[in-house]
Amino acid sequence: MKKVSIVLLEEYEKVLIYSIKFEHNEHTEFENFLSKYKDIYSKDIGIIMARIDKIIQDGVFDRHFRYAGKYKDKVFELPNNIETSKLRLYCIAYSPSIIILGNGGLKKSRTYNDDSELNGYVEILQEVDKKIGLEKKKNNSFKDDDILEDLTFTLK
Amino acid sequence: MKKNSLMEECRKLITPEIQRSVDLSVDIADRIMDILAEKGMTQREFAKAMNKKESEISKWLQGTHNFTTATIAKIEMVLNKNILSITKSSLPKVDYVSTKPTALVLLKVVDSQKKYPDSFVYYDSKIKNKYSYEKYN
Repeated sequence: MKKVSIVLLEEYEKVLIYSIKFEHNEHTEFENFLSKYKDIYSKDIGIIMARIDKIIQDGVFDRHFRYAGKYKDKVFELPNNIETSKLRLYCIAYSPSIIILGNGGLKKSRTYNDDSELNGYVEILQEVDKKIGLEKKKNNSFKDDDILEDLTFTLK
Repeated sequence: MKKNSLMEECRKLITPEIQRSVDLSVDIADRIMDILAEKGMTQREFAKAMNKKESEISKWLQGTHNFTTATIAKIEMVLNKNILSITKSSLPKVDYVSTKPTALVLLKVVDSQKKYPDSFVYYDSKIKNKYSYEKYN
């Protein structure tokens, strides 16, 4: 059982950017991703950051992502099909104004399912997405644009 | 507005080329969507006119397709509108382009209007498509 909380990283007029942070970890999953790859795969990190900046300007819309996860969840992959990158970042496109960035890594196989590391990151986000959905059902006043900060879940 | 210092540091890795590529992909999808809205055309009608599956058109409109110039030309024909516009050079045409592998070649300029008398273009064969225009003394 792992405890995970939702942390606000950046705030803009149109978009709030969150990540997830495991209990006892110093940094969020997205910060761990950036720290791990920014020096070795600087171009790929540049591509992902440019796409995140576009999302900040535009809103969290499908056009910015590649589909990942299952049809019923909101888990997506960055960058989309246009940009060629060795890196994949997984995220939850929660609403047009909220994105939750997770972790990612090098694309070594055709699909993320064939890679245990990448598949693990997707599964974490799928579970977080499910937990947020349950929280919404429990709490009637919980709406899409509500601040998710400090929400804490226990994952399997 | 809250900012994250590590994200700010990583934003410095966005080169002008990366920025342009991301901007273009979104702008092309936006342009097609705007024309469809203007014409009151549905994705299904557009797909039929393009002789494509609706799912493929949907992918185009999400900005997740790497368009070839041939596809853009076909879209422009079907929608009867320009998707991209190219800025043309205002320089006078050059009468001779050296094929020699030298780095810098002087080229005489064809200037029928005599707008640039005694002018030459420096053609750098190593950086194709880029040439500077200078007054020749």
